[in-house]
Amino acid sequence: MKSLKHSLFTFSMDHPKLVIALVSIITLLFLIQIPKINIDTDPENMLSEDEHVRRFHHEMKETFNLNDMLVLGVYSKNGVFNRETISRVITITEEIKGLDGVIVDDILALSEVDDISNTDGTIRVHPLVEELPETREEGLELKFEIERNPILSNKLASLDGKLVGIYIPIEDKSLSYVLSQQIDEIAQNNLGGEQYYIAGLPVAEDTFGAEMFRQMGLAAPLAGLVIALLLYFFFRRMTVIVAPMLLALMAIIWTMGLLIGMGFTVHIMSSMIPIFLFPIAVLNSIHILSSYHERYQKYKHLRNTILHTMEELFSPMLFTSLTTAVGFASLAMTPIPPVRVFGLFVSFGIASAWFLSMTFLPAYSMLLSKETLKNFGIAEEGDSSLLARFLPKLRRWSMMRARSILYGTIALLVISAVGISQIVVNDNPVNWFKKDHPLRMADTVMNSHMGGTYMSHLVFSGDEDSFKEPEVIVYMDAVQGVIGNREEVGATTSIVDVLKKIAYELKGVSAVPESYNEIAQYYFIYEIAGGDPDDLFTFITDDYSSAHIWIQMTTGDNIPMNRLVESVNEYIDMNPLPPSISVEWAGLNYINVIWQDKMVKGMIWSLLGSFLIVFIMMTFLFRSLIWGVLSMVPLTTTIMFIYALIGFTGRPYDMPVAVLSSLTLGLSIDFAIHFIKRAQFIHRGTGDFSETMKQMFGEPAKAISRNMLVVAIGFVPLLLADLVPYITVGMFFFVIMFFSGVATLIILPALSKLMNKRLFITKQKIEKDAKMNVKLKAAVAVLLLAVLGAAGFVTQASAEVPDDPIEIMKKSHLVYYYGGDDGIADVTMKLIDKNGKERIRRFVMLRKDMEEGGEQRYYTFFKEPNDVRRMTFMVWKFQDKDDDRWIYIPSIDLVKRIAANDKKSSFVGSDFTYEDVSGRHWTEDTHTLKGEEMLDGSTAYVIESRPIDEKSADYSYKMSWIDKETYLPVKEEYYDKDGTLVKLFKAEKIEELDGILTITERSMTNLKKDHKTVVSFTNIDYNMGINESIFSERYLRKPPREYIK
Amino acid sequence: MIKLKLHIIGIFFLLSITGAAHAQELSLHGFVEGAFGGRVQMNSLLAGRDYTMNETRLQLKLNHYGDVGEFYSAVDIVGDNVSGTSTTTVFREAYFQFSFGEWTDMKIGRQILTWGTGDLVFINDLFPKDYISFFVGREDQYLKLPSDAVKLGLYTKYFDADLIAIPNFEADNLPTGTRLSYFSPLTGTTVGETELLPPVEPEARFSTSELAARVYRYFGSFQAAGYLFGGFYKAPVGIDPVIGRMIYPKLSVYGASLRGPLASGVVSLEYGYYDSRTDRSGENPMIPNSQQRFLAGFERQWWSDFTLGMQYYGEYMKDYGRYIEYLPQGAPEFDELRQLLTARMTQMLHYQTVGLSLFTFYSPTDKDWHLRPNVSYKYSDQVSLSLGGNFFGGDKMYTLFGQFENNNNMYARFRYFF
Repeated sequence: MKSLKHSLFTFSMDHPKLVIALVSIITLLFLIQIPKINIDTDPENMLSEDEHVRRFHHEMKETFNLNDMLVLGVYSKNGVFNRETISRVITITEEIKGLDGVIVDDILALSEVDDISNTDGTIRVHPLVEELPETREEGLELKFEIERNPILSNKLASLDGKLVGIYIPIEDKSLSYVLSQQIDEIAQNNLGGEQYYIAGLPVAEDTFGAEMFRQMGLAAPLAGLVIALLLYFFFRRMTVIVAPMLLALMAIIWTMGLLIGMGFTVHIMSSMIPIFLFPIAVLNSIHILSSYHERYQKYKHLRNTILHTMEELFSPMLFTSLTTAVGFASLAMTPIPPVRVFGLFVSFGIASAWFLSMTFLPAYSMLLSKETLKNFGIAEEGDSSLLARFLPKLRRWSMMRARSILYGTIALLVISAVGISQIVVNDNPVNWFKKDHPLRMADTVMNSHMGGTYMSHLVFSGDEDSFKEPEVIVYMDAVQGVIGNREEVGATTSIVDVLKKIAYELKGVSAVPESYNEIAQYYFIYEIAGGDPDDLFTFITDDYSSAHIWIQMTTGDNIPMNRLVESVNEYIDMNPLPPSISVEWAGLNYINVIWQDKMVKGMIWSLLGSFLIVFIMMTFLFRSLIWGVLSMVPLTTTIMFIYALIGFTGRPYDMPVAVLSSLTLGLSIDFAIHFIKRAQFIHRGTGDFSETMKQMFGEPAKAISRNMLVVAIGFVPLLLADLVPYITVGMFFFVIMFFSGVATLIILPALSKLMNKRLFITKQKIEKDAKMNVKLKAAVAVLLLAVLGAAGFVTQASAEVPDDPIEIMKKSHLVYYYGGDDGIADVTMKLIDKNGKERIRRFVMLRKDMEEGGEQRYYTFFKEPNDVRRMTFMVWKFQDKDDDRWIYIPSIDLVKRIAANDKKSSFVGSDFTYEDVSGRHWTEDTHTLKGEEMLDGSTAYVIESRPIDEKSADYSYKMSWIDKETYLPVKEEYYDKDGTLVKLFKAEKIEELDGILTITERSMTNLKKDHKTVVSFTNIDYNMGINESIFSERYLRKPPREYIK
Repeated sequence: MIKLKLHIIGIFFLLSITGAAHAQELSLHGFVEGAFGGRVQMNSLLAGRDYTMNETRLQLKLNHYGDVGEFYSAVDIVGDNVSGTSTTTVFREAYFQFSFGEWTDMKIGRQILTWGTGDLVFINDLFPKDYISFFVGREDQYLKLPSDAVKLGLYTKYFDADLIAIPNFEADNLPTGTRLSYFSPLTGTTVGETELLPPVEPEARFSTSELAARVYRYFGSFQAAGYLFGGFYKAPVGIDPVIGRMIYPKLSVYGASLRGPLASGVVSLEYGYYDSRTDRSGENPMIPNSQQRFLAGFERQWWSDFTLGMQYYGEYMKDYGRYIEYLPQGAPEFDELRQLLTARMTQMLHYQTVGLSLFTFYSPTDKDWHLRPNVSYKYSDQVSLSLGGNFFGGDKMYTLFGQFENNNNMYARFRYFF
């Protein structure tokens, strides 16, 4: 190992030019990837694409033909309901209609919406503004007209009449920045004294993407410059400090190049990778340069200086890099894909930086001229005298006050715990902008005057014509009332409003119609009265099976959204939904809530996980539990302090803050490692604790302080950024570095003084340890390689990781039974009895999913045994009722319906029941996550399922092992009432076919009867576009030749 | 014995072809069966004829998928020691099946035809049946006789339809006295030999072709169907007084059915109006009156591998007053409403290798009954054994089951599939 370690940097020292050339070529290769960059600022991508809420959101948008919206507000102090303003608004609306990407039909604006009124006893749907108001009275009449219409009220115009809105649906969220610029221009050209505002979540998100780059282009170089200046201040040699700067730059290029080259989009998170990498990459260099600085004047020999520095620093640097890398890699455990990508790539960057420190840095150092180094290290006395004077004082203080420091630390931890409990999770893309940003201002004005620019939807689904049932409409009205009463909700709109408005015009009472016929008539009236049916069908589907409440909220924060969801849930709990009706949430605002929730949970686990790993690594590194614990103290204190700070200041815990926990972990441990390693190293020489401490507060403490200052101050420029996440990061960098540095230099000496007898060991032991150290390093190198490799698995890691057992079982069900949209396979079932006698069933099986996770059709053509040859069997599987089953017996040309409640019956005499073949719906059992287990080399969730209706299953409970990666069930155990294992399912073979993971061989063993069935699937094809008509009586009698050979 | 040997040689010959046929587009399968059945009570009418069934059967199923369509044939080679005839070869099926256009299927040739919702009770299914096989215990498929027919399937967006033309009349196969004694309406007694004057079948002319149609579609999980039939009674239920022989009177049937899931089971409802075209007035005692027939059935699985199916079936005679009025003195008098109850119980055991089943018919109006117990055992995928019996009873000798009162029999069948 020693030779390997040596050869790494001696090779670089012997062939500096070659190494620099090689490194440059690699860098160039990564650099040319960067132009392929693909930006993604859509917070929706915080959830994986197959996340239920996300898919549902899109389904809903399609069902109701809804689109993401920009909102243009026109504001006038003197009121907008006058001829001039309204005509300007109309002109603007007309021009906006001409923009590409705007969905003209669905624009909501004064000149675009219909009003419903009763003219001489007939209901008429007509444009709201049929002629411009001439007088003040006519203006007020128009305003009144809007207020009276529940569909438009507080949406189209504010109640105070000062603000009028134009709601602009757009084809794609990604167009919103460009469109907002164009709309801005139109508004500017047309308006007189009025002010205007553009708002809406999509603009905020898209604008952030556009500005992100400007910020990165500005803030990052500025941070680099400040760091360079600080380094110059410490080392006074331009040529020397170029090395760490170049090294950091290269590490960033490698990482971003790999990220972009692998086809990942640069998300808000990954855009911060350079900012995170920079200080980390620089850290090692500072340690190395500090050491050069110290030694060069002693050795006066460049090669020896470098060699000795590398020897001494190799181990602490390896460990600091490794721990930091682990800290970030732990983010891969979070359920949020962009965060995972971020974590894994930062760890790749750290590994790269370490590698460059071991190769590029020594190579570069070798090329330094004697001239440059002539006075290197001498200038020290003058410039860092401040540090030189301050550090010994600090040492004396911490030695004297050791006990007080211990109590102080404990007190701090307790207070911090209180602070942490105060943390509030919240994120709102609009808050990514500073308060004086035009978007933020628009947001404030628009949301304080009108219904709100944050949209969410509560979707009610039922059967055809459900929304003609008065019971359903009344219920929906009640729910809408509950929602509307919440203060953060500005406006709600639904089909109920349309009905009420018609009722009002017909009967003068704004009440929900009372009978089925009346409701049906109202819909009809709306259509024949000249209403655009498309307008109606944005609130309700054309078969009247589902409808939604459009909720406008005045804030994009997720706490109010959460409260809203809770209050609706409460209402539903108290007042059960009408039969066959179900509700579900959608909308960008709701999606934000979901991913934030996942983020917090994910971050906590990730943090705990990496905390544990780092702790184990430390225990290994120091080969002492007590040192391991000690090394964790400064970082624990720092993390708790930082979070307490967040809790106490009331700053919401959002995405950037969440990610900082990993950074804290990675950086704080650095200081502890350097401190302890160096202290142990020195103690070996001195054998005396107080002498060790004296030396420690020389160069080692100086290096730590320098690092602390460089990183802390280096990121101050981020505070100047326009975008809040960057400011947050800058601020926290400062606090983290400063606090953890100080904690290391105060708490560690104090604690080690209190326990020095147990911490520092005799000389013989030291020598024995040295030998073990070698072996350990080998292990560590392997670990590091593993971390590097982890970057390669990022793609794999983007799979969803829910921790909700229901979600797991649901997903497993979908993966297992709903692979592709349809599928065909040759199935062979081998039935083996206790004497080993085999019976064979061979059949072709066709499957088509009518709905993912829902209705399915199966068609089976039997080939063997010969007595059932040519027999066909068909199942229509439903979600909420018994399956329909048919069997066709060719010898008598008989199509027979089979009673289908026999889900527990054996399928063709095998150990699989009908239910095992087509799947038991996950909602029929209650599920409990029992933990995770390793099974055949991969991790699986262990879930216990108990039937809700005991009679519905032939087991009392079932244990399932669901693979964490694939979600396929790898093993299932069925237990009877006595808790005896009766049946055992195993996935024997899993293959990827057409990109779909499939259990191609499975077995079911009945342990009671000692009978076993092995099923294998061959010739599997997915997504064949199997026609629905195949699953009919026609093809039962006449098997489809194209599929059955 | 020689016959049997010949069969075995034939079987081996054919089996060797099977091996060759597998390699091609052709496929050849089938079974060999030995079936033996005997009387379990004295029947003076059939003294000395103790076997109801004693036969060896080879069924060969050959099919070939071509580019145009599928050819399928099933041929039975039977050595029957009861009928005493030499080995006979019967084509059970031999048809060519193809589609033309997306919406049409055609099946031409000898084929088994079945539709309707009843279980061993038929209203709208007027395709020929073999009740001898049924009552002596041959396998269920032998209840159906093949028809030489053209079947056209139409599949539209709104409904599906089957149109069937059967050029040559094919009668049901009814007991003739060889295996079972039966009631002869000509003599008015139970007899043990073939009628001296066999029934007269309709002349083979174009106008005597039978036509059948079914239109059906699904409403949710329920299938609704409408049926039409134009042809003849399948049994010789009429008498031509001029020639003094039994005939198959003209018959049209208009019917409907509904079948679908209910209460975790399957419910079936079927109705048919039997239009006895040669006696619409009901005045001719030699020809049956028109009837309304209906059935209601329910089948459900009660526990694993146990199903119970029950049916109620009724025949309601039209113009009953006139029937009674014109009924000759002494002739058997049937009720206005004939009712029949059936129950089928099936229990599968041991991974469906053992099957126990019992089918019962009971008519509260005819006061007769029929029991059909059966035990089957599949020793392997190739070898199966089936044991069962047919038991009859009734107050009157002229009712459907009552006439077979002395024909109780038991049987055993042994099959080898290949």
